[in-house]
Amino acid sequence: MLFYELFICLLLWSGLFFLFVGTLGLIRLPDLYTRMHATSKCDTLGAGLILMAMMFLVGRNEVFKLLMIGVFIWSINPLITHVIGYMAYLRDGEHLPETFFMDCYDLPYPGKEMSGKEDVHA
Amino acid sequence: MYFQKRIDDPKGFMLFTIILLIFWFLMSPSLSLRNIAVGLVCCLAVTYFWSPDLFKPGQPFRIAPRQVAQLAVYLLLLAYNVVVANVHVALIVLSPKLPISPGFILVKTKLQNELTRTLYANSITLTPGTITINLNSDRLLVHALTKGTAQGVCDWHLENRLREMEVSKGD
Repeated sequence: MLFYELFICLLLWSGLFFLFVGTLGLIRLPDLYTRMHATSKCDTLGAGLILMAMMFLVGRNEVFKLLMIGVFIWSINPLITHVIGYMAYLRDGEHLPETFFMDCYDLPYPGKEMSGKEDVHA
Repeated sequence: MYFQKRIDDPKGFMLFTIILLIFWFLMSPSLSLRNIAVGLVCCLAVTYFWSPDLFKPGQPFRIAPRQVAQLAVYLLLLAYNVVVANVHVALIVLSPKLPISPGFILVKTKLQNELTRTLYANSITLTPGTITINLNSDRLLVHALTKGTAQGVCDWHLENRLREMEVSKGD
């Protein structure tokens, strides 16, 4: 029983840790795109871990609903990230001056440098 | 009339309705007659309303049992990759020097199906150091946090798994 509670505590605290890291990244990272990295990934795992801890705590009937909440968070979070990033890209959101642009569409990795942003409507 | 839609793929229509019904019965509190009736009507209406987007001509909507197994393995691998991604971001954010070299990279995907392409784009967002900005037919615009992760997105082993899942459609 003690180990069970310790395990739940571990899950809760690791979830909190990842949420904390996500928020810290939102403050520390320099531009919108890099900030999205921190928030999208860490929020997904943080919320997932906390939901998992709750799944161990609640009764058997509620587990499936919590699981569904988790599935929705995991599937919708990348979508929202993509929409925010795409809008910033269309509106020429500011990015770091040393940002590289690389075109690997028909070449293997190093590809060729792009002169600037790709015209997404082309 | 705009609300009249032709059903080209009755088998796919039924399959999708059954999937929605399973979800409904998992969520509904009891198996009373009213619950069943409401669920049936709602599932049929939702499938009918979205049928132009769900069932494209020439791409019948089928799910083979083998594909479900492959999807389960894929999701497990994805969950592992999400944990790796989080540790990666945590290491970058918590290090005092903030070692980032961000950039945009344009890659081509081998996947043919729209559903697997969407799944692939979402998985790229959840995995180490990359987020998908745009998906336009087979052009993926990806933002990478460091140059190393930009290299990783070009040949990613999970893409091959999705491709296998697409190919093993034959039923």
